[in-house]
Amino acid sequence: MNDKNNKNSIIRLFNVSKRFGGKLALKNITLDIQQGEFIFISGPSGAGKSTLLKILYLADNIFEGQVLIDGMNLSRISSSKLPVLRRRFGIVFQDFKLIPTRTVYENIALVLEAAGKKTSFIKKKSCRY
Amino acid sequence: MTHFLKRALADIRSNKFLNLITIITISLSILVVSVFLLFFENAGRVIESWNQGGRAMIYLKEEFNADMLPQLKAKINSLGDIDAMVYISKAKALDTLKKNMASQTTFLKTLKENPLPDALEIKIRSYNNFQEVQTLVQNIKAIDIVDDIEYGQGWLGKFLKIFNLFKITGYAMCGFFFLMALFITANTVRLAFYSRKLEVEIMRLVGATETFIKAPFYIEGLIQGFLGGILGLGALLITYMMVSSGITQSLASYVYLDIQFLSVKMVMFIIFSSTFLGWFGCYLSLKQIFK
Ligand SMILES: Nc1ncnc2c1ncn2[C@@H]1O[C@H](COP(=O)(O)OP(=O)(O)O)[C@@H](O)[C@H]1O
Ligand SMILES: [Mg+2]
Repeated sequence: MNDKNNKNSIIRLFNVSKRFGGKLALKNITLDIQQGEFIFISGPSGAGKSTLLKILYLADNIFEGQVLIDGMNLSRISSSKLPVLRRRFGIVFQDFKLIPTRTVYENIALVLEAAGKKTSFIKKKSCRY
Repeated sequence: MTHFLKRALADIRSNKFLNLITIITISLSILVVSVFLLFFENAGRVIESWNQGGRAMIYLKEEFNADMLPQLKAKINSLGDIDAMVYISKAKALDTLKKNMASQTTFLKTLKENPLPDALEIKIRSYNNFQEVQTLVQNIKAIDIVDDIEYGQGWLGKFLKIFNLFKITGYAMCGFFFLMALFITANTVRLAFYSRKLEVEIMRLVGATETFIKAPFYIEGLIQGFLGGILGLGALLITYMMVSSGITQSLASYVYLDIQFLSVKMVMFIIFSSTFLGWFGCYLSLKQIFK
C-alpha cells in the first residue's frame, strides 16, 4: 500500500484495529490513499476486507486507532456531520442492500430521499437511465 | 413533510392489523379514562349544587331575646362567609306553622304556650371544601346562646368520603390504562421499526439524518394517538347519548340531575393527551432502539 507523501491524501489510517469480542479482525492497519488513486485490497475470506470497508464507509464506528477521511478524523467528527459525509460516498454493497418489496424506482429514489432532495429532482434524476 | 406523512401512512397500511389493534387499545383506554372524567365532572357539579343551597337553621336557647340579635348576627358573620341571615322569631314560626297546617289549627289552638324556639335561618356561601363548611357549622354551634344547628352535614360528609375513595380508585385505573396504552404504542412502533430495518439501515448508510429516519415513526405514533383519542371519545359520546337520556328520564323526578357531556376544554385536553401518548410511546421505543 501507498506510503509516499500525504499532500493529497483522501483516506489515512493509523494503527487501526478492530475486535469482535476478544478476537482481532484488523490489527494495526496504517495506510494512506491519495486522491485519484485506484486501490485493491485482497486477501482470503475472513481476512478483514469487509470489516475495513465498513469502518471506511462509516457503518462501524467502534474501533481502535485513527481514521482520517478528507482531513476529518472519524473519532472526533460530531454525529450530526456524519450524514453529510456519508452522502459523498458511492458504495456498491456486498449484499446489494436492495429492498425486495419496493420497486426499482423506489430503491433508487430512497438514496436521494435520504439526502433530502426535492421530489421533483428525485423524479428527474431517478428516471434518467 | 409530505414525505414523512406518506411513509407513515404506508407503514400503517402495511401493518393494518397491528395498527388497528393499537388504535383500538388507545381508544379503549381513552374511553375508560374519559368515562371517569365524565362521571367526576358531573358528580362534582351535582354535589356542588347540593352544597350550594348551604341553608342552615340555627335554633336558639330559651333565654334568647330580640335585644341580643344584633350582637349574635355580628358574631356569626365574623365566623365565616354568610350570604344571608333571616331572624325567625318563635311567634312568627308559629304563625307560619298555623298557615301551613290550616286544617289542624284547632289542635294548635289548644297549645297554651309557644313550644317553638327562636331561630335564625342562614345561607352559607358555598365553599369548595366541605371540611370548611363543617368547621363553620361546629363554630356556630359552640356559641353560648345557640341551642342547635341543623345542616345536612351527616350524610353529605359520609357521601363525600365514599366519593373521594371512588376518585382515588378512578385515578389509579386511569393511570393503569394510560400505561397500558403507552406500552402497546411503544411496542407497535418497535415492530414497525423492525419491519423497516433494512430500509433504515440503507438510509443511514447513504447519509440520512437521524431526524429524517425517525420522523415517520413519530408521525405514526401521533396518528395512532390522535385517532385513538377521537375514537375513544366517539364511543363515549355514543354511550353517553344512549345512557343519559334513559337515566335522566327515570330519575329526574326524584333528584336534581343535570348530566352533561365533557366540556370542550376537556375534550381538547383528552385528544391532546392521547396524541401526546402516541408520541411518547414512540419516543420511548426509539430511545431504546437507538440506545
Ligand atoms: N459482526 C461480526 N461479529 C463477529 N465477528 C465478525 C463480524 N464481522 C466479521 N467478523 C469476523 O471478522 C473477521 C473478518 O471478517 P470479514 O471482514 O468479513 O472478512 P472478509 O470480508 O475479508 O472475508 C472474520 O474472522 C469474521 O469472522
Ligand atoms: Mg467480505
